[in-house]
Amino acid sequence: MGTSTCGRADALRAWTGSVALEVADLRIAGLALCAAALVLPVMPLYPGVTCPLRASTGIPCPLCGITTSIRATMRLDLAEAAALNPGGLAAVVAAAVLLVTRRPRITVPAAALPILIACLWVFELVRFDRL
Amino acid sequence: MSDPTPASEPPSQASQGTPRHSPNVQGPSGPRANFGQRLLAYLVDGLIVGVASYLVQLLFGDAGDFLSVILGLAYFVYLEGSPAGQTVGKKLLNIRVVDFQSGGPLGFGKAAIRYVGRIVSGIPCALGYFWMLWDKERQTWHDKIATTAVVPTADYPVEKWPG
Repeated sequence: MGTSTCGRADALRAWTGSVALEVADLRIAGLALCAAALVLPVMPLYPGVTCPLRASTGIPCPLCGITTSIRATMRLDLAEAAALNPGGLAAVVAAAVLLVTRRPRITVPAAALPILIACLWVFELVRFDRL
Repeated sequence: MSDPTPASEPPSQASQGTPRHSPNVQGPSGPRANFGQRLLAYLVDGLIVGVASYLVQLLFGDAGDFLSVILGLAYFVYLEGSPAGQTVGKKLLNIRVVDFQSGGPLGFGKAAIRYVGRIVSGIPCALGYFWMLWDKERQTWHDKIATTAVVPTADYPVEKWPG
Protein backbone atom coordinates (compact mmCIF):
# COMPACT_ATOMS: atom_id res chain seq x y z
CA MET A 1 0.00 0.00 0.00
CA GLY A 2 2.73 2.41 1.08
CA THR A 3 4.85 1.35 -1.85
CA SER A 4 1.94 1.84 -4.22
CA THR A 5 1.29 5.35 -2.88
CA CYS A 6 4.98 6.13 -3.13
CA GLY A 7 5.04 4.78 -6.71
CA ARG A 8 2.09 7.00 -7.67
CA ALA A 9 3.76 10.01 -6.07
CA ASP A 10 6.97 9.27 -8.00
CA ALA A 11 5.01 8.92 -11.25
CA LEU A 12 3.21 12.22 -10.60
CA ARG A 13 6.51 13.93 -9.80
CA ALA A 14 7.98 12.55 -13.03
CA TRP A 15 5.26 14.38 -14.99
CA THR A 16 5.03 17.57 -12.96
CA GLY A 17 8.74 18.16 -12.38
CA SER A 18 11.36 19.53 -14.73
CA VAL A 19 14.02 17.81 -16.77
CA ALA A 20 17.51 19.21 -17.23
CA LEU A 21 18.58 19.02 -20.88
CA GLU A 22 22.28 19.24 -21.72
CA VAL A 23 22.65 21.94 -24.36
CA ALA A 24 25.78 20.29 -25.81
CA ASP A 25 23.79 17.08 -26.42
CA LEU A 26 20.88 18.94 -28.00
CA ARG A 27 23.25 20.98 -30.16
CA ILE A 28 24.87 17.81 -31.52
CA ALA A 29 21.49 16.17 -32.11
CA GLY A 30 20.23 19.25 -33.95
CA LEU A 31 23.35 19.50 -36.08
CA ALA A 32 23.22 15.76 -36.81
CA LEU A 33 19.60 16.06 -38.00
CA CYS A 34 20.41 19.10 -40.19
CA ALA A 35 23.56 17.45 -41.57
CA ALA A 36 21.66 14.23 -42.34
CA ALA A 37 18.93 16.19 -44.13
CA LEU A 38 21.52 18.03 -46.24
CA VAL A 39 24.04 15.25 -46.88
CA LEU A 40 21.96 12.08 -47.27
CA PRO A 41 19.97 13.13 -50.34
CA VAL A 42 23.10 14.04 -52.33
CA MET A 43 24.90 10.81 -51.48
CA PRO A 44 25.27 8.43 -54.42
CA LEU A 45 22.92 5.42 -54.32
CA TYR A 46 20.89 7.07 -51.54
CA PRO A 47 17.71 4.99 -51.27
CA GLY A 48 15.78 7.51 -49.14
CA VAL A 49 14.84 7.31 -45.49
CA THR A 50 11.99 4.87 -45.06
CA CYS A 51 10.10 4.84 -41.79
CA PRO A 52 10.19 1.21 -40.62
CA LEU A 53 6.90 1.63 -38.73
CA ARG A 54 5.05 3.06 -41.74
CA ALA A 55 6.68 0.59 -44.12
CA SER A 56 5.62 -2.40 -42.04
CA THR A 57 2.25 -1.27 -40.67
CA GLY A 58 1.13 1.72 -42.73
CA ILE A 59 0.98 3.79 -39.54
CA PRO A 60 3.27 6.84 -39.56
CA CYS A 61 5.49 7.61 -36.58
CA PRO A 62 5.77 11.08 -34.94
CA LEU A 63 8.96 11.83 -36.88
CA CYS A 64 7.75 10.79 -40.34
CA GLY A 65 8.70 13.41 -42.91
CA ILE A 66 11.11 15.19 -40.59
CA THR A 67 14.15 14.77 -42.86
CA THR A 68 12.26 16.26 -45.82
CA SER A 69 10.83 18.94 -43.54
CA ILE A 70 14.32 19.95 -42.39
CA ARG A 71 15.51 20.07 -46.02
CA ALA A 72 12.55 22.32 -46.87
CA THR A 73 13.33 24.58 -43.89
CA MET A 74 16.97 24.86 -44.94
CA ARG A 75 15.92 26.15 -48.36
CA LEU A 76 13.41 28.45 -46.60
CA ASP A 77 10.34 26.68 -47.96
CA LEU A 78 8.62 27.05 -44.61
CA ALA A 79 5.10 26.24 -45.80
CA GLU A 80 6.17 22.87 -47.18
CA ALA A 81 8.23 22.19 -44.04
CA ALA A 82 5.24 22.87 -41.78
CA ALA A 83 2.96 20.78 -43.98
CA LEU A 84 5.30 17.77 -43.88
CA ASN A 85 6.20 17.80 -40.20
CA PRO A 86 6.23 20.95 -38.02
CA GLY A 87 8.88 19.21 -35.91
CA GLY A 88 11.43 19.70 -38.71
CA LEU A 89 10.85 23.43 -38.73
CA ALA A 90 11.05 23.54 -34.93
CA ALA A 91 14.22 21.41 -34.94
CA VAL A 92 16.08 23.80 -37.26
CA VAL A 93 14.97 26.85 -35.26
CA ALA A 94 15.95 25.11 -32.01
CA ALA A 95 19.32 24.03 -33.45
CA ALA A 96 20.02 27.65 -34.49
CA VAL A 97 19.07 28.96 -31.05
CA LEU A 98 21.17 26.30 -29.31
CA LEU A 99 24.20 27.19 -31.41
CA VAL A 100 24.27 30.71 -29.99
CA THR A 101 23.18 30.02 -26.43
CA ARG A 102 25.91 29.87 -23.81
CA ARG A 103 23.96 28.11 -21.09
CA PRO A 104 25.27 24.59 -20.40
CA ARG A 105 21.80 23.20 -19.76
CA ILE A 106 18.20 24.20 -19.93
CA THR A 107 15.28 22.95 -17.92
CA VAL A 108 11.90 22.16 -19.40
CA PRO A 109 8.71 20.75 -17.86
CA ALA A 110 8.95 16.94 -17.85
CA ALA A 111 5.60 16.62 -19.61
CA ALA A 112 6.50 19.00 -22.47
CA LEU A 113 8.38 16.61 -24.70
CA PRO A 114 6.01 13.62 -24.47
CA ILE A 115 3.16 16.05 -25.22
CA LEU A 116 5.10 17.46 -28.20
CA ILE A 117 5.68 13.94 -29.55
CA ALA A 118 2.00 13.10 -29.05
CA CYS A 119 1.00 16.25 -30.98
CA LEU A 120 3.40 15.41 -33.83
CA TRP A 121 2.03 11.89 -33.94
CA VAL A 122 -1.58 13.15 -34.20
CA PHE A 123 -0.44 15.54 -36.96
CA GLU A 124 1.18 12.71 -38.93
CA LEU A 125 -1.80 10.38 -38.41
CA VAL A 126 -4.07 13.10 -39.86
CA ARG A 127 -1.63 13.80 -42.71
CA PHE A 128 -1.63 10.14 -43.70
CA ASP A 129 -5.40 9.80 -43.20
CA ARG A 130 -5.03 7.30 -40.39
CA LEU A 131 -7.36 9.04 -37.95
CA MET B 1 37.26 -6.97 -13.20
CA SER B 2 34.76 -4.20 -13.66
CA ASP B 3 33.57 -1.60 -11.26
CA PRO B 4 30.95 -3.19 -9.02
CA THR B 5 29.40 0.11 -7.97
CA PRO B 6 25.80 0.57 -9.11
CA ALA B 7 25.32 2.86 -12.09
CA SER B 8 23.02 4.94 -9.95
CA GLU B 9 25.75 5.37 -7.35
CA PRO B 10 28.93 5.92 -9.34
CA PRO B 11 32.33 5.85 -7.69
CA SER B 12 33.75 9.03 -6.18
CA GLN B 13 31.68 11.50 -8.20
CA ALA B 14 28.15 10.72 -7.13
CA SER B 15 26.66 13.93 -8.43
CA GLN B 16 28.71 14.46 -11.60
CA GLY B 17 26.43 15.44 -14.41
CA THR B 18 23.56 16.00 -12.01
CA PRO B 19 22.12 19.48 -12.29
CA ARG B 20 21.94 21.42 -9.07
CA HIS B 21 19.50 24.16 -10.03
CA SER B 22 16.71 23.05 -7.74
CA PRO B 23 15.51 19.88 -6.05
CA ASN B 24 12.57 19.74 -8.48
CA VAL B 25 14.85 19.37 -11.51
CA GLN B 26 15.52 15.76 -12.38
CA GLY B 27 18.93 14.69 -13.65
CA PRO B 28 20.70 11.36 -14.00
CA SER B 29 21.68 9.52 -10.84
CA GLY B 30 25.28 9.16 -12.01
CA PRO B 31 27.76 9.96 -14.80
CA ARG B 32 26.48 9.19 -18.28
CA ALA B 33 27.96 9.22 -21.77
CA ASN B 34 26.74 12.21 -23.72
CA PHE B 35 24.78 12.14 -26.97
CA GLY B 36 27.76 13.11 -29.12
CA GLN B 37 29.91 10.26 -27.78
CA ARG B 38 27.12 7.75 -28.35
CA LEU B 39 26.36 9.05 -31.84
CA LEU B 40 30.02 8.83 -32.91
CA ALA B 41 30.40 5.35 -31.40
CA TYR B 42 27.26 4.29 -33.27
CA LEU B 43 28.65 5.63 -36.55
CA VAL B 44 31.97 3.80 -36.05
CA ASP B 45 30.20 0.53 -35.22
CA GLY B 46 27.80 1.03 -38.11
CA LEU B 47 30.74 1.49 -40.46
CA ILE B 48 32.47 -1.68 -39.21
CA VAL B 49 29.35 -3.86 -39.33
CA GLY B 50 28.24 -2.26 -42.61
CA VAL B 51 31.52 -2.94 -44.42
CA ALA B 52 31.71 -6.48 -43.01
CA SER B 53 28.09 -7.15 -44.05
CA TYR B 54 28.80 -5.83 -47.55
CA LEU B 55 31.77 -8.20 -47.89
CA VAL B 56 29.73 -11.14 -46.56
CA GLN B 57 26.98 -10.41 -49.10
CA LEU B 58 29.53 -10.24 -51.91
CA LEU B 59 30.96 -13.58 -50.86
CA PHE B 60 27.79 -15.50 -50.07
CA GLY B 61 25.11 -13.94 -52.29
CA ASP B 62 21.55 -14.47 -51.02
CA ALA B 63 22.70 -16.32 -47.90
CA GLY B 64 24.71 -13.19 -47.10
CA ASP B 65 21.59 -11.36 -45.85
CA PHE B 66 21.06 -13.89 -43.09
CA LEU B 67 24.77 -14.02 -42.30
CA SER B 68 24.85 -10.21 -42.07
CA VAL B 69 22.17 -10.27 -39.38
CA ILE B 70 24.12 -12.93 -37.47
CA LEU B 71 27.28 -10.88 -37.88
CA GLY B 72 25.68 -7.76 -36.37
CA LEU B 73 24.14 -9.77 -33.55
CA ALA B 74 27.45 -11.49 -32.76
CA TYR B 75 29.41 -8.22 -32.86
CA PHE B 76 27.18 -6.35 -30.43
CA VAL B 77 26.30 -9.24 -28.13
CA TYR B 78 29.88 -10.48 -27.75
CA LEU B 79 31.51 -7.09 -27.27
CA GLU B 80 28.80 -5.46 -25.13
CA GLY B 81 28.23 -8.64 -23.14
CA SER B 82 31.93 -9.05 -22.37
CA PRO B 83 33.24 -7.67 -19.06
CA ALA B 84 34.47 -4.44 -20.70
CA GLY B 85 31.05 -3.73 -22.27
CA GLN B 86 32.66 -1.93 -25.19
CA THR B 87 32.24 -2.22 -28.92
CA VAL B 88 35.07 -0.79 -31.03
CA GLY B 89 33.17 2.49 -31.35
CA LYS B 90 32.57 2.73 -27.61
CA LYS B 91 36.23 1.90 -26.92
CA LEU B 92 37.35 4.71 -29.21
CA LEU B 93 34.98 7.14 -27.51
CA ASN B 94 35.92 5.96 -23.98
CA ILE B 95 32.44 4.86 -23.00
CA ARG B 96 30.99 1.49 -22.02
CA VAL B 97 27.68 -0.23 -21.34
CA VAL B 98 26.99 -1.35 -17.79
CA ASP B 99 24.12 -2.97 -15.97
CA PHE B 100 21.98 -0.16 -14.58
CA GLN B 101 21.51 -1.81 -11.17
CA SER B 102 24.96 -3.22 -10.48
CA GLY B 103 27.19 -0.90 -12.52
CA GLY B 104 29.03 -4.02 -13.70
CA PRO B 105 29.05 -6.10 -16.89
CA LEU B 106 25.65 -6.90 -18.37
CA GLY B 107 26.46 -10.40 -19.60
CA PHE B 108 25.53 -11.95 -22.93
CA GLY B 109 21.84 -12.44 -22.09
CA LYS B 110 21.18 -8.77 -21.43
CA ALA B 111 23.41 -7.83 -24.35
CA ALA B 112 21.17 -9.94 -26.61
CA ILE B 113 18.05 -8.27 -25.18
CA ARG B 114 19.70 -4.89 -25.75
CA TYR B 115 20.40 -5.79 -29.38
CA VAL B 116 16.73 -6.64 -29.95
CA GLY B 117 15.86 -3.40 -28.16
CA ARG B 118 17.91 -1.48 -30.74
CA ILE B 119 15.46 -2.63 -33.38
CA VAL B 120 12.58 -1.31 -31.27
CA SER B 121 14.43 2.01 -30.80
CA GLY B 122 14.85 2.32 -34.55
CA ILE B 123 11.25 1.57 -35.58
CA PRO B 124 9.70 5.04 -35.03
CA CYS B 125 12.36 6.91 -37.06
CA ALA B 126 15.00 6.36 -34.37
CA LEU B 127 12.89 8.08 -31.71
CA GLY B 128 14.09 5.48 -29.21
CA TYR B 129 17.67 6.66 -29.75
CA PHE B 130 16.81 10.35 -29.36
CA TRP B 131 14.92 9.53 -26.16
CA MET B 132 18.13 9.86 -24.13
CA LEU B 133 18.16 13.61 -24.82
CA TRP B 134 15.40 14.22 -22.32
CA ASP B 135 15.32 11.01 -20.28
CA LYS B 136 16.15 11.54 -16.63
CA GLU B 137 18.69 8.70 -16.65
CA ARG B 138 19.91 9.49 -20.20
CA GLN B 139 18.69 6.08 -21.36
CA THR B 140 17.58 5.09 -24.85
CA TRP B 141 14.70 2.67 -25.24
CA HIS B 142 17.09 -0.26 -25.63
CA ASP B 143 18.83 0.81 -22.43
CA LYS B 144 15.47 0.75 -20.66
CA ILE B 145 14.45 -2.60 -22.15
CA ALA B 146 17.72 -4.23 -21.06
CA THR B 147 18.12 -2.10 -17.88
CA THR B 148 21.51 -0.79 -18.91
CA ALA B 149 23.27 2.56 -18.98
CA VAL B 150 26.12 3.92 -21.08
CA VAL B 151 28.77 5.53 -18.92
CA PRO B 152 32.20 7.15 -19.35
CA THR B 153 35.19 4.88 -18.69
CA ALA B 154 36.72 7.72 -16.66
CA ASP B 155 34.15 6.90 -13.98
CA TYR B 156 33.75 3.19 -14.72
CA PRO B 157 37.27 2.05 -15.69
CA VAL B 158 37.92 -0.92 -17.97
CA GLU B 159 40.84 -3.15 -17.05
CA LYS B 160 41.04 -5.26 -20.17
CA TRP B 161 39.26 -5.19 -23.52
CA PRO B 162 37.09 -7.04 -24.32
CA GLY B 163 37.69 -8.67 -20.95
